[in-house]
Amino acid sequence: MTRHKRISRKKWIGLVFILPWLVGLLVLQIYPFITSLIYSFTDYNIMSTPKFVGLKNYRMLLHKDPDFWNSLKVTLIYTVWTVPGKLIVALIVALIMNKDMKGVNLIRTIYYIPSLIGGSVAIAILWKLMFQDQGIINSILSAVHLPTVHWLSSPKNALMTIILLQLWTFGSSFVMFLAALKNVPADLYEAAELDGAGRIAQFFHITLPQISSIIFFNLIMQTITNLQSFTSSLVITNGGPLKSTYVLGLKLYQEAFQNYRMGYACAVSWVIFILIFIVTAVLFRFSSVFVYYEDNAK
Amino acid sequence: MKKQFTAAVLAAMMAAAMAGGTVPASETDTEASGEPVTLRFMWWGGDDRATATLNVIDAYEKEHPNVTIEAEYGSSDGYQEKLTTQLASGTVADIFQMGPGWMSGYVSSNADYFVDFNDYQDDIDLSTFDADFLKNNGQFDGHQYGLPTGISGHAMIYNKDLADKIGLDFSQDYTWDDLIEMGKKVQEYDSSMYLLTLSSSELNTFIIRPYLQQLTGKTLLDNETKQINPTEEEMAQVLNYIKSLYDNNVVTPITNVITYGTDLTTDPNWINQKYVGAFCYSSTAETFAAACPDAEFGAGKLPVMEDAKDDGWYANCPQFMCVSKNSPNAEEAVKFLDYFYNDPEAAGLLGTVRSVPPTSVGQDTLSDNGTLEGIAKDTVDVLQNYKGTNDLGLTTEEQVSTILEDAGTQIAYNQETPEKVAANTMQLLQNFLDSQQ
Repeated sequence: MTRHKRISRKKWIGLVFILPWLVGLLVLQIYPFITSLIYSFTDYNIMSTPKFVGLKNYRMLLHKDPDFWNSLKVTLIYTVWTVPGKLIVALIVALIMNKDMKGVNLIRTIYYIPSLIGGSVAIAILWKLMFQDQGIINSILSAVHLPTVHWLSSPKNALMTIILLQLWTFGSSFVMFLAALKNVPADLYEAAELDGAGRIAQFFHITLPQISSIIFFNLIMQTITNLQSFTSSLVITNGGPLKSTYVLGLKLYQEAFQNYRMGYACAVSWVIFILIFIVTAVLFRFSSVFVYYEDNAK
Repeated sequence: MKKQFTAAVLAAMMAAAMAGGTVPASETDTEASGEPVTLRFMWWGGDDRATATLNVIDAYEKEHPNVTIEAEYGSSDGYQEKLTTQLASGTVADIFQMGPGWMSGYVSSNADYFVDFNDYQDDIDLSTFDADFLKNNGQFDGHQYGLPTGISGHAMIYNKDLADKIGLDFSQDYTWDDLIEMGKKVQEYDSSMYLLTLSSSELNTFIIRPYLQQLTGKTLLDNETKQINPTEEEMAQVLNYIKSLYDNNVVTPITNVITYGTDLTTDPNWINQKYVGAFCYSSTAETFAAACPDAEFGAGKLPVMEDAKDDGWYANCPQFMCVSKNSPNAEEAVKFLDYFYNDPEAAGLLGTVRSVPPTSVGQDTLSDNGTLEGIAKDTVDVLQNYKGTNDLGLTTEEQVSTILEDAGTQIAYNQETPEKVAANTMQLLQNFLDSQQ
């Protein structure tokens, strides 16, 4: 009896300790998660009471809203370019930084800085100023007698310019790659060298398999983040020109806070959620093909 | 045991501190006049407007020591989002500035957000406003939910020197087709120059809407019948007109201005006098002129087609002032607005920070002290010649504006034929109207 009592009190105390986090989870995550699903079946403009409309929002979205299909396309193109691009850049920089050189810690820090500020509005504004028609990039191009480019004002280039900003903020993946590279046992390389394997063979047969789980982790995290991309499209181009950078996250925002169609916006958010869920599930399904786990080598 | 208890208490305190960081704000005073009263007043605007409005508040507080007015002001960015949330949650300020384009949406959702100024005739004198102007600006079904802050509207300003050199006259009536001929003249004079700079949103507000209104004599969307007034052919006609503006280099290529959004004054071409003129609003005319200090600007007339069924252009107001019906001190709030609109001292302090004042008191005060001069006043004078139908309502809803802006932008980028864009636009407008049923 006393034993039982003590355990339950211990549990209770533990609960009190995690209460701040628990309250955050319930109020800021679980509650909006559930209510957004409920609202997605309603017509709701914040000011009047929500009106239940069944699946109308989803039907509208899938059948009557050409913007949605455009946004989906833009989001997928954006993700397909950004994620592999960022991983490759991060891996290359990590391989270079893995060497012992003078001042390497300082250089590593410098490479990480863009990631600290990359998602911010300030950097997006800077990007906009640099790449607009009369910006510094075009000034440099014309100074060296190269043709100037409509970086942001042409529907053909705007999305690529925004992707470029994302590639530049590779820091978080880079730090994880660096840690993973440090963990590859040195004796594997020594053994390979004795067997006469060159640098390239070592990279493909030792380095890549050894860090494949971290590659996979970065792939999943980056995919999830980039499917929800929003800030740079809003700040740099506001979805334009001609909706060429109109990602799903921006559509969600505009439906909610410009058109005040909260129910419709919730439906958009659930479609994004399902999309992320499917993409992540597919990636996990095929992870066994390219991820090497030491304990149960497949 | 004791340690565990202390830990639990500490953890609970931490949780409490995180969960309830704010102390509930003290209730607003509900005492009758004479007793201390606190009012909240929210507006958006630049520094000049903020300073002038704060001075008016100071002056009023000196005359009425029992009244304290808390100012809540900032930029227009995110103002509407904030206002909507506050209205919905009942936390809006006692007095607040309102965008005329938003108002009909709020009123149709819930008219109980606003006091009807007609019910407060003892506290505020509305006879200083022009009765028709008051009716067209802030009145909904006979209820005066908003008071116009000034007289303003669409404007066209032009660089006087350049216009003289090229031989353009904006002081005479001209048609949309004349505009194209003027544009050709500018190109002949200097092929790096354009007659007009035009943002993507202005394709809607300065071309599509007024052009169609002149063509059909009706607003684009009908607030009563919830139907589209122009036909698909008429929509194609205005889009063809936009195409000819770009084909003949009358307006600057869209790629030159798209990254500046609605703030065309930051475009180096504007500053370097590469454009003869610009469409703007009376309230922004001074900003445009100030961005190009080397040039002298005049207020031009606005294009009207031959045999127009409606002028298409009209004077309205840049903002409304509203009082919250939730306010326990609505009467005091209205009394402050009476001072704001009808006291010569307040009018002198405010000047033209919300465009030309709408009341006789304001206008007399400013013409007496000589501050009612300059480009803003000139554009208002020109504008008052036009008696077009006010198209605020469905036509100015955000979603509709986006659809029309997109249509114009597709033509500007030469993506599709005007006929195709017209058909698509009619469909999108119909979808919007269907969702309003």
